Amino acid sequence: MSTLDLLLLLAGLVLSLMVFSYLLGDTLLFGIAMYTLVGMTAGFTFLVLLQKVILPMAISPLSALPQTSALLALVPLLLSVLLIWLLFRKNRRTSGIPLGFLGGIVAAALIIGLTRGTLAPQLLSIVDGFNPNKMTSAGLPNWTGIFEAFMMLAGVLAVLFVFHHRRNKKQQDTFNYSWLDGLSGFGQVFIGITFGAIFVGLFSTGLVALIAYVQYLVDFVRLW
Amino acid sequence: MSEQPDDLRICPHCGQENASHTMRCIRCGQELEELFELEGFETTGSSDGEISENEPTPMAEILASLDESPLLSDADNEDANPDVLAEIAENQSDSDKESQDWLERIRQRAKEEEDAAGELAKGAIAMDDRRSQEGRKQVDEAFDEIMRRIREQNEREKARRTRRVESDLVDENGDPEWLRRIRELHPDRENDSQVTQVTSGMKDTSDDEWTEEELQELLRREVGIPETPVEEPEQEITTEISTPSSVEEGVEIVSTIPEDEGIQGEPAQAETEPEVIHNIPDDEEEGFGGGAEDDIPSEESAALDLIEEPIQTEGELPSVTDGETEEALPEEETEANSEEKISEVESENLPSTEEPISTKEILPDLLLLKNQRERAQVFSEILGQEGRRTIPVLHESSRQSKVGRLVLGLLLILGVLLAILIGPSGTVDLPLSAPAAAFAKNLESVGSGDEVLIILDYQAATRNDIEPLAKRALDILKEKASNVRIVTSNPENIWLAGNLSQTGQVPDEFIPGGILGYLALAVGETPSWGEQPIDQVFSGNPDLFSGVDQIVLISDSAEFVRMWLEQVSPWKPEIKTSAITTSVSAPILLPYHDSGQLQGIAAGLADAKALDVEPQNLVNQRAFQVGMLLMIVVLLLGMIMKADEDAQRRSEERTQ
Repeated sequence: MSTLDLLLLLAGLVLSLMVFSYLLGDTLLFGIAMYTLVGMTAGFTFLVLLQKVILPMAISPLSALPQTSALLALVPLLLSVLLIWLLFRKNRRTSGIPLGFLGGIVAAALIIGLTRGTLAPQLLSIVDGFNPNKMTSAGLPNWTGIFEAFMMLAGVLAVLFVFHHRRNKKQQDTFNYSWLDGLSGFGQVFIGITFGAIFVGLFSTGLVALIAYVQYLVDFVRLW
Repeated sequence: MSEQPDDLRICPHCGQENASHTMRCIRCGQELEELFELEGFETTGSSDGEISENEPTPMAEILASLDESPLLSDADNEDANPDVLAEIAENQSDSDKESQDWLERIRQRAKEEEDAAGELAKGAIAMDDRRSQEGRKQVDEAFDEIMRRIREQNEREKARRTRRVESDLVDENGDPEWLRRIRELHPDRENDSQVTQVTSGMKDTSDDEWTEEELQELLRREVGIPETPVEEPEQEITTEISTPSSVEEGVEIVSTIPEDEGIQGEPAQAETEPEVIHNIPDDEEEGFGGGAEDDIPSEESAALDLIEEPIQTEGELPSVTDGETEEALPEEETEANSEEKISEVESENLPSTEEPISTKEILPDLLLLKNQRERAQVFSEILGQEGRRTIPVLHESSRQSKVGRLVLGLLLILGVLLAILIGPSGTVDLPLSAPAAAFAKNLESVGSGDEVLIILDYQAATRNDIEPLAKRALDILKEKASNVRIVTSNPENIWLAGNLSQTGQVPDEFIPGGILGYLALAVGETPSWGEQPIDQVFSGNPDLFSGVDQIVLISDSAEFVRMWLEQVSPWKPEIKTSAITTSVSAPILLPYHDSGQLQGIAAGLADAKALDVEPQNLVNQRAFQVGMLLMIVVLLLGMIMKADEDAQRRSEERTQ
């Protein structure tokens, strides 16, 4: 093991212990570790963007003026200048141009993508669950497929009704039907299962990271 | 005179037994004339023509005096037997003739007896004594009866008014009746005061509670009794407090003021125009009430203004006999003059159960009006908030939560550490999930020379959960001799990608703009007049999706995978997409696998077996099991404690 590797291991050990100090609260050591991480990430990101984005996409094309590609490169450069101007002059209308352009594009992309990529395919998937070919197997009912299709439909309707029921309850206090409450409770079961699975996955991921770094510390100590 | 053994005389008319000294029958009213019969003499009726003519006057005068006597005068006299009266008048002339005869006999007997005249006088004196004693006794009894009735009536009235005042004194909000009336008259001022109270916080609730002195003072103001200073103010206050809720009693208190203080004047005027006696400057009153105070009826305004009246008693008592105040006293005194003695008797009979409250003890509460006191409280609270934090901190963790978090963290670290240090790593045999099997199958379908695009988007924190799978997938693709192209839009993955291969491979391209950059590359086409600005970032072929057969997303974010499926995949439906992700993202991405948008999902170490990677080679399985067990225990304890807290809270709410 080289000296550089040893120093890197030692630095990793110190930083890991500083992060573990968060058990004692938001201490100075934890803050130093966080600021170190953020600072290094920002600096590295700036270098990457400068090398991979700013220079090749905004500065280099200017050398090809008056070609079309070079003129076209002026558009992002101008928008970037307007954004930078926002740092010094707030509430400038001209600075809203790139932000509005960016916000409009993102919103449109999200709506179209959500419709095409999630809503339509998921609805088709639910309907496809009732495909006779999937509900039968060799001329006999495929009870597993049938149960899965109905549970999927019931789960979707119940979860959708949970939010609808909650909204109505907020809007009017007289919204009180026992069977609707029961259906809403049925949907909450699905939501609870989903959140439970997410929490287990989150804890599992964190636990794996913890074990890996404790193993790293143990291995470092065993070196001596 | 008929003497009975028990000194009773029987009425000759009706046979009723009467006392020996009774002159008339108590039943029929018949005059018992035997009383005047003397031994050796005939009765008046039987001595016709024998009365001396020389001395007719004494007998007539005696009878007249007896008839005119108030003790013997009775209503029954008017209903006396007219025959008897006529007989008396008729015999009166005959008695004159007989007077000399019986007078002679009297003289004769006086000579014979030692005290002949004294015998008659003794009986008359005894009769007078008995009558006077009986009369006084009757008068005393009648007076006592009247006193008793008055006393009982007074007590009943007192009890009734006490109940009424107690019921009307405060409402369900704790506001006295007079305050409600004032609020009705001054809604704006009350609203202002309420707003002030709200801004001053909940501490006012404790200050708004009525003390005993305040209630008594309020009661005094409620009944409209002016607390007029007298020579003995403490005695007055004591009497007033001991007998609250009675206007008449209050009048009695006022009437105890000595008359020598010159209480004269016009009572009616004093009643209609109560004079304000206080030492608060006029500008202070204007500041509080302004013109609105003019709307207050004289009764309420007098009640309000009387708050300051005790101030007079603090210092100069003689100033009490001031103008109109003096005028108000005689009227009340005349009205209560008959009850003054009763109150004195009551004060003598009823022992004082409360200690006399000194005027000086009440004065500090009476120096400020209600608005003044509220403003003073607001001001003191503003001063008290100096240097305090006014905006509450969200999610402010208590010391208990900090300690709990520390204990839980240390316990988890200690368990993991002990599991690593003690014993072998352990083995795990997890079932293979369908998405993971689909991912492996899709990866096996990659043929030699196929273009595979690897998209990196994960953080360093999750590298232990992702990189083993990603490394194994790259090895499989390398074994199949497929063309792999690694790109990323996350600068962090530029150095993290070096861990994926033995050679320290770095991403081929960095795509700026994140998902929008991928979208631009998926949608955009190279124009005929040149190239797009984003094409400048590529060192090789700018067409990122050209000829790509498979796309493997290596990301710890389900959001990124979803955005890819929403923004990029619809534009390239012919490309098969699969994902290597963490255990967190697996539940969110499962619907996309069911819908066919994702060919397969390999989520964390749990799906490592699908790629022929033994989990025990990646992470200490025993430590993983210890950590999961601890978390399960903590979760169960948390659920139990939460259920217990909820049950206690519900029980407390039910109790309240």
